Amino acid sequence: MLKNKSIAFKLIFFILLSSALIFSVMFGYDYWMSRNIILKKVRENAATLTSATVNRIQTVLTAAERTPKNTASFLASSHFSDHDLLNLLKNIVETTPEIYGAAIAFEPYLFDKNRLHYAPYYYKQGDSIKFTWLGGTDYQYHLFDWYLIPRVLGKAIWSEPYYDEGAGNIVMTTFSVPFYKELNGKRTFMGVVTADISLDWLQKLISNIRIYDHGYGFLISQTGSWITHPLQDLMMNETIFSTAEWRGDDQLRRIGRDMIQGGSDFILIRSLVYDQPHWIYYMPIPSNGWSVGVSIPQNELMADLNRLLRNLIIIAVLAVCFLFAGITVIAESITRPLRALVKVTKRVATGDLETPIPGADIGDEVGQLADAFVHMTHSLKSYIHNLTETTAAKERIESELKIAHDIQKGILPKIFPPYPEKKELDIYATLQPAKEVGGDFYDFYFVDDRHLCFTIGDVSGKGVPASLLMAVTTTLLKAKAGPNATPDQVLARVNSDLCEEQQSNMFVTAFFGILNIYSGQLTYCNAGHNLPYMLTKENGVVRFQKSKTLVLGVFDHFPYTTFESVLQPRECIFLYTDGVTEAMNIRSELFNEDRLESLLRQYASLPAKDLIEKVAQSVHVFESGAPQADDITIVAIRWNGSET
Amino acid sequence: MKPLLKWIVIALFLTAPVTGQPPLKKISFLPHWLPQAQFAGIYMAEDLNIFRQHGLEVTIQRGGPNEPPLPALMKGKVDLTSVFLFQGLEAAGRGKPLVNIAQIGQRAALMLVAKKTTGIEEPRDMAGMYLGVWQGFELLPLAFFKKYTIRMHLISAASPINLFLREGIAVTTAMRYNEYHTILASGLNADELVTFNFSDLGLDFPEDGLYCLADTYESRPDVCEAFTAAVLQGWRAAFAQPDRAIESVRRRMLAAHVPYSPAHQYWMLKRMQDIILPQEGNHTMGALKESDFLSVGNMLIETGAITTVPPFSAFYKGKKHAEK
Repeated sequence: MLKNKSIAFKLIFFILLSSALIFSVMFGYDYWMSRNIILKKVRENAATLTSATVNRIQTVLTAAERTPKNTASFLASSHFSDHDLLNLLKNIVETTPEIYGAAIAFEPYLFDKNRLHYAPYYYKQGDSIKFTWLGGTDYQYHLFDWYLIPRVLGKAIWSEPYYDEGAGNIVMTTFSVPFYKELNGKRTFMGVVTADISLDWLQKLISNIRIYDHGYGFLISQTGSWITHPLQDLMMNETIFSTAEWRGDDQLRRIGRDMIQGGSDFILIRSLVYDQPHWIYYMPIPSNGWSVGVSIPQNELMADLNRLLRNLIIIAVLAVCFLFAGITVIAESITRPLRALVKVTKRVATGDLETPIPGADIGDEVGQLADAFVHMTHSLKSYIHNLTETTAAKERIESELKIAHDIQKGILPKIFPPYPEKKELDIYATLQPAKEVGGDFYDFYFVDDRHLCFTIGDVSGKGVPASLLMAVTTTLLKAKAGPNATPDQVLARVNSDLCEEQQSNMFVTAFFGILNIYSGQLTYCNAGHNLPYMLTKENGVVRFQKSKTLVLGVFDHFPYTTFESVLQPRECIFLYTDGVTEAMNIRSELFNEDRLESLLRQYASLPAKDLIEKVAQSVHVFESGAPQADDITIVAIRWNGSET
Repeated sequence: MKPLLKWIVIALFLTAPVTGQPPLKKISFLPHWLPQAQFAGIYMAEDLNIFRQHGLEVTIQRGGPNEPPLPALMKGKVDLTSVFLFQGLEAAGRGKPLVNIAQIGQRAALMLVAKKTTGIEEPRDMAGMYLGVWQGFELLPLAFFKKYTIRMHLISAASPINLFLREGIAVTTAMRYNEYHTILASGLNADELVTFNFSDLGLDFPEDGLYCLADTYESRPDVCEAFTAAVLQGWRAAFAQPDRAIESVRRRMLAAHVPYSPAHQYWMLKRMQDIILPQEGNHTMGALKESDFLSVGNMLIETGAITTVPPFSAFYKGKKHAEK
């Protein structure tokens, strides 16, 4: 993905990514640790606050419990009159500030055999103390919780909170203590002493709990009823469980169960009031199993931390921006000369070696690279200079070779027919060099008015040296031939000169003949050359006689031998070099003597020129596609007889 | 008021006796308990003007523990009231001149509830244990004891639920639509409880019914029938528009300073639907089946509450149960 991106991009991408990661990890860890520390502190503070609240409530409840408990003990152990009872009760309500009202309710017919209900009740109303009798057909008090539950359980209880309409719609709870007496030797339940206490103060106490801006306290009863909660609709209407059901909040139900079972915990919930995460801490009131909770808004709890984190993030973003700018500058300082170098290199690649290369004066790696480029262009310039010189030299040599070729061609007879006045002769020759200048040669010339000397040869090797030696050889051959010289003498003299003068281990094959154009007498000598063919009438195509022979320029004083023969009119001498028979096709097959002889037989009667062209064409066809390996030289001399 | 509008109003007043409805017949009704969704149909009949549509002007009195319905009816403080079938039939069996004009509840919502920790698995396991019951409803557990031939310690209470929650009693009676939900809303989970529906115990005694004095019915049968029809229509409206019904209930509960919990009232309305329009069994909405009448009559005789059961036709004046 990043493969094709620029170095600057990669640098910026990886460094910024790494920095962002490092910042995230650092801040994340810092936030997490700080959060835990804050939560730990808040938990401790919430526990302290809740515990203090619980203690305050407990103190009031304990104080409220004391009087009815003492009264119950007194009733159990004493004899008392109607009057005593009412005074006692009135005194309780008068002297105990926590107690709103108090009753002593007896079992049916136990205090007074004539009265089903006997329950005097004193209660406060404003600043005065009022009295009433509880019980009647529409209020059978022994069926109600405040009486029935302590009777059945045999122990003092705090009732569930309730609205007391008579007392001005305030929330009350009643503490009921059963009392017993020995009757006929049997411990008998006599009734209960009750003390009503208003929960007004308790609601105010809890309502006044303020934690941060939106924290609050709440209180639930033993069955989960909301006694105090900021949501007025919940108070005394709902239980924590019905609220949980209504809101589909299972967590709230679990917390409620833990609360009414006397549990204590610090836990994150969604606030019922603000619909935001709140931490709540709750703990039970020992006396009555109610549970006090405080609810602390998490966002306010974490406000400082969040502010810190926000500032850190801003700093981090600024740092990353700064980093971005820094990396961009550095990356630019690296890549700008690189880009310039790329541009220059492209120009260098098109051949502009004079372009100045920037950045070589910088000391860093980029500078070194630029320096290397400077060296490279210098080397290239020097190389191109040399190459230009070499090419010029080569061109000169080639031009000289061309001249040599022309000279070589000039050496050879090239006007056909060479002796148009000599009707006895039909001569034709061709030389096709493999390279610009070849080693093959042929020649013919009259040494007197009747003797035609002719020669064909091949210098070992090719190119300029071969052509030079060829030029020497043809010159020598011409020089050494004379009216009285026999072919063996000519070749021996040439051989002697070549052996003497040339040191280059090159040699020359040559066939040298002299034809008397009037008699048809032929003398010839061979020096290591391919034996020519004689195209005769009687015997067809025959080769010249084979003899002991040696190439020229190898061994001085070799005894060359002259042979003699007589041509019949219209017979033809066919001379060639090994370029003909050793011509090779693409399958590496040689043209060979058989193929040549077959051609000669086929075209024996053709004029010399046509014969040579046929043979040359056949060799070309044979060679087609393959490069010409050697010079191809063919000479044909037909003697038409002296009479013609 | 603009002159034209004034004349239109005057014209309407003048034409009303000629073209309008006959005057509304006044009647009063006392529900047998405090306002709650148990009476949602009646409140809907009032709030949606269903009573008026039936030609009635109904005064609904505030019920509750301070106003027991049967004495109020006998004393003529109210024209119509609602009580359980066994209560109405017991009164009739004792010679009180009252008649049933509609049987609203078709099945029993009464149930027994105990904590699983008591080890109770079947009814007989409850033998010897303490059972809480509302004062005045003791006949129902007695019928249960008789049927299962067990004895339990019966504790009468104004409401036995707190006593049950504080484990003063092992078993409590509860109405499925009310106290059972109160127990759940006090922190006990359903899977921690073992329950027995009276309807499953072979004691499926229908409950809420509408009653009036025999005289009232004889002198104003059309009013009684119109009232029944309106109440049944009110119930159908309540089941069709539960939110509207609960709003009617809520308003009355707040006015009566009765704790209002939407979760509890919606639960109650749904359970009322279960017993007023049961999905199973052969029931006609608002009608008393003679078989139910007889089984409650037998229960009353067996428990010794009454000695004779009045004739069905004398006791029940409502619409006929239609056999399906």
